[in-house]
Parts: sequence; C-alpha cells; structure tokens
Amino acid sequence: MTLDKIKPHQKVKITAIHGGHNVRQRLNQLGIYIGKHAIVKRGGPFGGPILLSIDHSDIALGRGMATHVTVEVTENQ
Amino acid sequence: MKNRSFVKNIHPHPQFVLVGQPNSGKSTIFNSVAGYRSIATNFPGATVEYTKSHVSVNNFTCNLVDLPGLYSLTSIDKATEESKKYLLRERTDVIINVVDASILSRSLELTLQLLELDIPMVLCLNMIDEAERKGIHIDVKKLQKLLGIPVVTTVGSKGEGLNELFESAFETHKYLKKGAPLPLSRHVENKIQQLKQDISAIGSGDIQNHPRLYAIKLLEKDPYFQQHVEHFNGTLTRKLEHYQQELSKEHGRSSDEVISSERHSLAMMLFEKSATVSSREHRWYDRVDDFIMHPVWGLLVMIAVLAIFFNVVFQFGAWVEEPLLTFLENGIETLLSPLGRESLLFQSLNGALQGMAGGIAIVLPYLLPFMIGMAFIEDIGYLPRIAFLMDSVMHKIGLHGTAIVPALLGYGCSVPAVMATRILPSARDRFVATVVAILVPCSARMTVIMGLVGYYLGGFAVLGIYFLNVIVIGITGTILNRMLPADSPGMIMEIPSYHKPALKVIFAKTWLRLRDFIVVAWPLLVVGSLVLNIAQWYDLDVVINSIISPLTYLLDLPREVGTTLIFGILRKELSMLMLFQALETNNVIAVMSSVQIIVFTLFVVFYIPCLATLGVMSKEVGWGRTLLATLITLILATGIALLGRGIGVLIT
Repeated sequence: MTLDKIKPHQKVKITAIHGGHNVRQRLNQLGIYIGKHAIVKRGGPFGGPILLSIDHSDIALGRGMATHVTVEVTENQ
Repeated sequence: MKNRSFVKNIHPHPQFVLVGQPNSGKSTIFNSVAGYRSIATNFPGATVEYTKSHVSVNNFTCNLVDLPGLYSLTSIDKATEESKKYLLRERTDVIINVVDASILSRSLELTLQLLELDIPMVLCLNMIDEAERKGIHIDVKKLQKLLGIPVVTTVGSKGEGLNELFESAFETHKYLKKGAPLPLSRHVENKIQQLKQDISAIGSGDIQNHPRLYAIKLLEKDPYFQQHVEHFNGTLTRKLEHYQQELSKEHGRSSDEVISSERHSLAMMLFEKSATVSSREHRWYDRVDDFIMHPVWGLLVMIAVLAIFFNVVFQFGAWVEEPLLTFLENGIETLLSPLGRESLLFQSLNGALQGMAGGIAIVLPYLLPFMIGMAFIEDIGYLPRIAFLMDSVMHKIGLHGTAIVPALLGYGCSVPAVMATRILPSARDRFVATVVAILVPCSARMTVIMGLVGYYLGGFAVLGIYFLNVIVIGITGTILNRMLPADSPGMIMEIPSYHKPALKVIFAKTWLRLRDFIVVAWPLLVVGSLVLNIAQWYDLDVVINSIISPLTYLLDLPREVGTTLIFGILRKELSMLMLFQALETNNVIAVMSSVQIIVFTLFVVFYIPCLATLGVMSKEVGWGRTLLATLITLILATGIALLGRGIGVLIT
C-alpha cells in the first residue's frame, strides 16, 4: 500500500520508494529510507499532506509525494 | 620537548563557515555573535543570499559566513547547489557544522559528507537542551572520538557554549585539525576507491582536489558533479556506468539509494554508539501542536493569528502616525517659513524635508511592528505549519504548501520573496510562485494601504483590500495553472519543533530589513520629493502627467497623480508620499474622494513591481518571463482599479 492511503495513528514500515533520482533523493535527505519505521501522525485539511514522524523528526509529505512510498502497516492504534 | 604541529602562517582573519541542515539554528548562532554591520551578500551570479560578518570572540577575530541550510551535498534545488559550490570553490578555513542535537542521527548524514571535503571542521551540537527534553543523551567525548573532530554543545538561543565553540574553531584552525572521511561498507568502499583512482588520473581542478567526494557523488548520480565529467572520454563514462550498475544489481536498488542508505546506516550506528534514548519528557506543547496542526482548528488558529497580527500593526501605526506627522509638519513650517513660499529654495527644501518626515511618520510606524512580528512568526517555527495547513489550498493554483513561504514573505518584501522561490523544484513552479509573490502587497504597499485607505476610510476598508487581493491571487494562479500544467512531484518539508523566540535574532532580522529601508528607500524618498518639487517649479511634472493622463482619465484620478505612479516604480512607498507632494497637501481626503483613494490604492497594490524586485526577477526567471509577469500586473491593476471605479459610481 502506498503511504497516501494510510490512516492517521498507524505505524508503518517503508518497503519501497519509487520515482526518479530527484524524488528518491528528496525523500532520503529527510530520513525516509527503505526499511525504516515511521508513524503517520495526521492528515492535513482537505486531502492535504500527511505528517510522518520518523527518527525524532516530523516530515510533511504532500499526497503526490506520498504515492512514491510503499509501506506495510505494522501496528494499528 | 614535543611540539604539536603548529602552523605559523595562520590567517589573521580566518574565514569560518556555518554549515548545517535547515532549522538547525545556524542563523541564531550567527546573529548572536555577528555585529549590526553584518551584511547579506549574493552568491556570485546568483540571487541566493548568504550573510557575512566580522566577528570578535575572546580577543580573536574572524569572518563568519552563514550559508543557506542544506540537507545533503547532493543538490536537489538551486539554493543547496549554491551552498555546495561555495564550499568547493571559496576559501573556507574552518567549517562549523551546526546540527540540531534533537535529530542527531539524520543530521550526521550531512556531517559525514562534509568530512569528505577535507576541510578543518568543528561539530556544533546545537539545541542540546531540546535533545535532553526529547530524552536523547549524547556522549560528547565518544562522538568526538568516533568522528575524529572536536564536538561542542551549545544552546544558540541563549548564547550558551558559543565562546567554547569559537575557541574550538580557532584551535582547529591553528593546528589545521582535519577529520578523515569515515569508510562505508567494504563492498561499496571498493567501488569508491576504484572510481577515485580512475578519475583522479584524468580530472583537473575541483576533481583533483576532491577525488573521493567526486567518486561518491558520481556513484550517487548527482547532476552537478555529472556535468563536470561530461567531457571525460568514453572509457571512463562506461566504467562509471558499470560501477553504478554493479552496485544497483547487488543491492536491488539504484546506486544513489545504495550510497545514501549506507550513509544513513553509518549515521545511525554513530548515533547509537554515542547516544542513549530514554522515554521522553511529557510535554504540554505536543498537545498544543496537535491543535495548531488540526485540519479545522489549525486553520482557524492561523486565520486568527494573521488577523491579530495585521490588526496590531494597523492600530499601532495609526496611533503613532497622526501625532508624529503633525509634530513634524509644524516643525518644517516653523523652520522654513522665514524663507517665503514663492522661491525655488523653499520648494526644494520643503520637498526634501517632507520626504524625510514622510519616511519617519508615515512608513516607519507600520513597517517597524510588521518587521518585528514577521521575524517573530519566522523564528518560533510557525511558517512551515502554515505551509502544511495550506498545501491543499495551494494545489488549487498548481503549487504545493512549500510555495506559501515565498507568498508569506511577500507580505514583508517582494525581493526576498522572489528569492525564496528557489526552494521550489521546477522552473514552472518558480514562475507561478513569483507571480503570486509579487501580487502579495509588500510592507511598502501595506504602508500605502494603511496610510491612505486605513487612515481615511478605516480598518474594514483595509481588510477588504487584503481580502480582494487574496481572491485576485487565487484567480490569477488558477488561470496560470491552466496555461502551464504542473509536473512537480509534490511537497516534502520538515516541520521543526517550536523554538523559544530569541530576542537577539528577532531584532537582528528586523534591523537587517529595516536598514534596507533606511539606507535605500529613505534617501530615495528625500531625493524623489526634492526632484518632484523642482520639477513642479519648472512645470516639468505637467509633461509627465499629460503622458500618463489617458490612464488617470480612465481611472478618474486627478491628473497630478501621474508622476507619483512613476515614482512608485522606484519604491512603492514613494507613490503615496509623492501623492502628498503632488497634491500639495497631507490631507488627501480634501482633494480626492474616497472612491478615488480606493481606486488609486488598488492600482498601486497591483501594478508593476518595484525596480529592485524587477532586478531580482530577471535573474530568477529571465527577462522574458519578467516582462510577462509585469504585463500581467499592469493588466490586473488597470482592470481592478476600473472595477473599483465602476462600483464606486454605482454606490455613490
């Protein structure tokens, strides 16, 4: 499942990153790598970005960007 | 007796460069030690700014440079590319790598890359108090040993540890202590070594100086480094592709991801070895943040914050403006009355003094509280939260949340706003965001709105103009979005923790921006008033006014307004202050109807960007698109002002 489909308050593990060099590097630079665990904290207003908590920092990911990240849900809260 | 390797010819004024990820607190440290004379400088040939200052700490002096934040040495936008070029090309005696200690693991990824540069370096663990609150305890000695460079802890906002930091930097400079690059896994390291040998045999300049960095970045497919090796012969290009393919085959992902993941693992390993994480302290502002980022409450909070902000600016400005203006007017009157009204000398002096008074009494009362408030909102970390909340709204005009940053900065000044569009990934986004940024009424235009419409017609009329402006921007953006389809991948942005505002930083920022008004705009105001009064003496303004008369006739404005619109292109405040000069009164309502005041203000809000903005735009988006954007503003201004006139005719 891609990250944009994940409901708030779920723990996920990142299994794949799709997209070109620029997309991969933008995600990597903010700590989003294959194999990492993260928590989806919330969604923004009107189908806005999702807020991802990873390694002590909060990252806002636009829905478009989130479609580039495949995850599996590890824990429902 | 053993001496440490002491280098005698150290530079008397070494150049220290602050490098760090965005939000690591570099600028806080910079502003804590830099003097009021610090200057914002452009990178050669680019409009991205860095700040530079002469600094004295503990009887040592140095030049301190604050580079724009970057997450990695792999460039993803133009701003980071400029910082990288600076590090590769300009003289850097010591890198002070500032990291947010509360996100140490990710920050170390940049540190590892900086170590490849082979420049003496100090690691500054900033916001160490915030890390402790998050339950992260860092063993500084251990980290120092693992990295091979000095590590100093600081709390930039309180000035804690800064003396030690600079002492350590001077020590590092004195003994030329460099760290060594840390190796990645053996398999990847082999590839790096092979490629390094291949390219150092053939390359020159930057490549000769940094063969290892080049090898890594080429394996990472970094476009900046790749363009440097395009002239390489076919054999080497084939070898490079071969290495990249081998890495990606063996690791099941592209070679750039292989290396960045390895660096991430290495950084995590360093973090785990040098830090312990305990359960975090319970913090009340986590819950406050939940509220502020909430889809409904968050938007309401945002609207309230912005409404209160503008209201305070307006109330304060209006409260100060009237008595101050009267006081200065009377002063000028008493001072000049002995000269007799009908002389060129009186007219010239009167013009110059009126310009001076206008700057103090009409512009500053609004500009000063605005600048302080804006710096405050920036400093506590609220801007990225607005970007988060506004992302889906910005999508309607084909941009994403990040683009709200230049738009909001536009309320301060269009010049940094246009520069800030550099954080956007595509040329198309930068153009749309530039048009949005210049349509946002900057603080100069704010003084016109508040000084004319607010002063004569009240706060609700001001609100109306700002509201209309937002709607016009929305419609313009939507039309541009239709004409230029979007192709950008979307927003990705860090939401930093809140920071306690540091007064020193807020005042430094306010001063830096205010100084621009005082040294650039104010003299222009004085000279402008002088020139206008002399021109009036010789009836030259009549010529200009008649050239512009078709426009003033169309908008039903007094003919004398023509010249002021020309002055307004120099600086927006001039259009209002010159209006007082041209109409020969500070009581505009006596000469112009309220509809005329609104029509004039609307035109000034939307028409042609000021000269400084045009200059920056031409560098950012090119002259062609600058002219296009200017044309758009002119059409909008005329259309909206006409609309205002039409509605005015209907209701009066």
